[in-house]
Amino acid sequence: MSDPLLTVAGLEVVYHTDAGTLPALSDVCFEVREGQIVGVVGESGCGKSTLGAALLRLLSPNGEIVGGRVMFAGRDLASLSSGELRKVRGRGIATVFQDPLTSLNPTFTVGQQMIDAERAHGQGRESKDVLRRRAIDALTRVGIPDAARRIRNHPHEFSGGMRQRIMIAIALLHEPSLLIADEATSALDVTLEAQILKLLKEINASHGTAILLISHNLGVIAEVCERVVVMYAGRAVEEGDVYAIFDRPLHPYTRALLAAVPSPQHRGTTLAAIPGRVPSLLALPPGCKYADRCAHAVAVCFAREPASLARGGLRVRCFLYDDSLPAADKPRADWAKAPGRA
Amino acid sequence: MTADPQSGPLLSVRDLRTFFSDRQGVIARLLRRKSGEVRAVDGVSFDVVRGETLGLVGESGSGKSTLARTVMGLVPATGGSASLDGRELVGLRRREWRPLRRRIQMIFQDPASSLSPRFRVSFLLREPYVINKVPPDQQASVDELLDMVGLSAEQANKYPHELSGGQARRVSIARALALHPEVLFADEPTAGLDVSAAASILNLMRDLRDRLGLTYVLITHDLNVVGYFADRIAVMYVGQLVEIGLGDRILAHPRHPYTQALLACAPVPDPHLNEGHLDNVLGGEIPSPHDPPSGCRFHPRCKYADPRCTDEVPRLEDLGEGEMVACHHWRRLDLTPQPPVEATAAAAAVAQTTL
Amino acid sequence: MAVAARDGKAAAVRAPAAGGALTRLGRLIREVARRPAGLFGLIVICLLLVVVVAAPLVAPYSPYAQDIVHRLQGPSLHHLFGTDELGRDLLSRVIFGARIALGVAIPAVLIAMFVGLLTGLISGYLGGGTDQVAIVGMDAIQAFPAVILALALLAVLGPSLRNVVIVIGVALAPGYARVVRAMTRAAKQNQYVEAELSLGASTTRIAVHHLLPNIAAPLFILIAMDIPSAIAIEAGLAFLGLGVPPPSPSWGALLADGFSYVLISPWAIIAASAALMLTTLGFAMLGETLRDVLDPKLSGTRRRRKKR
Ligand SMILES: Nc1ncnc2c1ncn2[C@@H]1O[C@H](COP(=O)(O)OP(=O)(O)OP(=O)(O)O)[C@@H](O)[C@H]1O
Ligand SMILES: Nc1ncnc2c1ncn2[C@@H]1O[C@H](COP(=O)(O)OP(=O)(O)OP(=O)(O)O)[C@@H](O)[C@H]1O
Ligand code: SF4
Ligand code: SF4
Ligand SMILES: [Mg+2]
Ligand SMILES: [Mg+2]
Repeated sequence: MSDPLLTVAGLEVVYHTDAGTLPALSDVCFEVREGQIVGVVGESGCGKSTLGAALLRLLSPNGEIVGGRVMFAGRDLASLSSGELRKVRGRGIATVFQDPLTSLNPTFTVGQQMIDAERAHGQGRESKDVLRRRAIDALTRVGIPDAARRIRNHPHEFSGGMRQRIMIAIALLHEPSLLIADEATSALDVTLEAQILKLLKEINASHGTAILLISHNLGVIAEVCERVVVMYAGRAVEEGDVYAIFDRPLHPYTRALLAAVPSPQHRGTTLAAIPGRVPSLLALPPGCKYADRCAHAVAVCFAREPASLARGGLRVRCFLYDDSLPAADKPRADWAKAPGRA
Repeated sequence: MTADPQSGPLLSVRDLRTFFSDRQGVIARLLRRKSGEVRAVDGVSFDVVRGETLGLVGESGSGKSTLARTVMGLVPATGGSASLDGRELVGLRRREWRPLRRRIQMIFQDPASSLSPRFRVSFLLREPYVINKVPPDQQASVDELLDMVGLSAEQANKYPHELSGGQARRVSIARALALHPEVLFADEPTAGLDVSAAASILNLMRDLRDRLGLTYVLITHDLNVVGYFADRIAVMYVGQLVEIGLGDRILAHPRHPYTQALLACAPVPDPHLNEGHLDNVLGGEIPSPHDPPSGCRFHPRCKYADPRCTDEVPRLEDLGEGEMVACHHWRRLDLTPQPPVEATAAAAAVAQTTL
Repeated sequence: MAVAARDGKAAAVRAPAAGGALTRLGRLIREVARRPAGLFGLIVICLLLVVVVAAPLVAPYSPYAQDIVHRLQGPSLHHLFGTDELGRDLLSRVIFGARIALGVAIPAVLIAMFVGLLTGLISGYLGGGTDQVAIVGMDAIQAFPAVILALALLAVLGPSLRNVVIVIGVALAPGYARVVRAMTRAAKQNQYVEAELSLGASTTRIAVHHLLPNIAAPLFILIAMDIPSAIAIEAGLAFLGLGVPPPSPSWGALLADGFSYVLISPWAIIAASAALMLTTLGFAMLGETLRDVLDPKLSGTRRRRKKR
């Protein structure tokens, strides 16, 4: 097996706000191997975007990494100077965000923006023609027809799906080894979304670019990812192979999440909505963050936070699987009473 | 829940058209430039019988919301007709609409922005009664309304921005239901919600359908949602219906190439079913309703297109039993035999796809 | 939910209407006073209001009392700001001048707001032909600088307090109409307007209940910003002899009179322009702070605040 390209260990991120300090990420651990597609999934506000931003140290000004390590290609990102970090951004790790219109400057042509992006990453010495050629190639690669002409167009002259392709082309200009796609398809229609997902898979296959795909859509995750990180209230509650996660999820939250997805098969039945709400990050309960919604919760769940355990190829953060607990204190895996598929 | 075939349709839409003119400003007007129009809804016909749920799917900009807003009289129709229980809705004046508002209501696409931001939930929930001068004995109390949509009484004092997306959606549903409508347009009721919140909204809508016998037109682009909720499905493409039929049939045996492509693109939350799933992704872009393609509007993206498709507009062919399709070649494409879809056949298809 | 947590950061006043009107006003004032410019504006305006209300008590002399013997004097213990060419106490004249300044500016701005609000709401909500006519009208008025327009109108109507107020009101009205029209058009796009329509609400109900409250905040800001303009126009007119007729101690008239004797005694000019400057600055700073507090979108400095 290849070495991990990206290792995130015990990552902790807080946001400083008027109302107090928000622990947005807590003890997040996972890794991405070369050429792998890893999905991060979870409900709104669980910290997915924060995770993506923290990896590149692009958090908003009130955010702060307060613990843990992010190793990329054998180097600790925290130890890099800002110059080196800039080189990593773009060349090593590139990002694509949800809204392509706000990421592109409306006043410049797509070509100018792509050439600027190339220059920003130290290819300024090359002639403009070379840079333009490379930009055209990049656009062609992401499936923009007639790129040589289209490069002179402004962003608004492209449709939403095309703009997202352009963003991906820009991200791929420097052949990064890791692409972070934060809800890169969420604003798109089903058919356009499928096109972009297909494009990402192709890039992954042809260039060996590893992809960290952030999405709240379980379908999208199942479609393209090899591994999945399930997040809840700033924690990675379960992590593992996509088949294992979808076939034999261990964590009660993952099970409940999968069960709540409507589908024609559930026609005529009541959907298994998870009771209660995601707790506010400002008032997190002391124990397991899922305890007040979990059908299995017992005393220990409210008292202590479960640690991350390896079980059957997965990593899961739940006392159900903690064999160090005496049987009497342990929550019982009585799936019949919990939402989830048997 | 399926409709009683005896009674006529509750809601009937015939050749409805809504064009938006994009002519702007005095100068253009003075020059009388023949400027284009956006044909947002371009000749749509369908019926909905009492107690039925019609799912309306289609990509962004295909005119789903515009269709609903036109039927609701919120944007003027360019032509065609829409009738509720035989009563024509198109061309009614504001005053004539009043009594009908109580019978047909709508849940808007964006829950947060469909509640006026400076009023408390209690005010917003009483508004339907105040506006329609409903006598007090016919009013449900704010608490009752909140309870009906599964919100606690303390939400009454909140402002819309203090509600979560799911709660705001519930308040909009409560507002729409306050007048006891018979028909409810639900425009993307689960868009932007987390899986769990979406599930509880769908549960709520299902419960209301069972209890109050509501007739829904459910607008969504999420095929999983229509598959779960709708009895029949209508598929829209650039302002026109391309296929309409029983939900089970459409999902198992789509007839129109666009419906097939749409189904092929929908992400399925099951990694086993994804092998090669993205291989036949529909290419191309959604055409602009400003300048729709000639002939069959789907022809630039359709892999079965032939010269006839570029020239000749396919008619929406009525196959009986509420099944319709608009494609020149559907018979040729549709190789699988089409027995009337039975529950068992659907269940077999389902069994294949379960986790 | 996440939204609540993220918004916790945003200043409380920006949230629409939590709590009663009074607590909201209190919170608004506190938020304004927290910023130096806002505090300055508030203090200046409070002082001005006190002076205006209590002018006879604060002023050491009557503004009209002449004392020819002591004309054109510099500051002294008897006359803190000195005296004018007729020996009238300049401090008292400046103080009573504030009455005229605000007495003209406030009604003028209110007229402008009222006219602008009505035109803006109607043309913004109805659109179409009505809108086109309104735009042409506003353009016609705004084609002239406010002072020139006021001059021309006053030359026709003749100078009097009432006419000055009306003329300034007319000159400023298009500004309001434009803002209100733009805001109405934007607010009309909100889905809640359509939601109200679908419940059967009348146009008036929608305009009064659902559009007006959303355009009130920018109007507030505009008022604060326009009062100094109105004061300046009034002073300008008075300077040119077309303002409130003498012997009323308008600041503009003080300037004009002082100008004739500037070589003998500059004090009239200094006193009047100081008053003018301070007032203008006070309102402008309040207006700008209000804008920052109420409408971060306009100030362009804070962008991530909006609810998702
Ligand atoms: N700049 C910020 N200041 C304060 N809190 C923030 C900030 N950015 C994010 N948060 C909070 O941190 C938490 C995680 O936010 P994040 O954007 O990472 O969530 P997410 O999982 O990406 O959600 P979504 O699916 O809605 O995009 C949320 O509760 C959010 O409110
Ligand atoms: N008021 C309007 N003026 C001009 N064009 C409009 C107006 N409202 C909608 N349109 C256009 O009509 C077309 C259909 O829009 P509509 O909102 O009905 O689509 P939709 O199917 O609901 O899409 P979505 O899934 O994105 O909500 C779009 O091209 C849109 O730009
Ligand atoms: S630790 Fe306890 S509360 Fe948390 S998920 Fe596991 S069983 Fe449920
Ligand atoms: S009519 Fe032709 S182009 Fe249109 S869907 Fe059928 S085969 Fe395709
Ligand atoms: Mg996010
Ligand atoms: Mg819509």
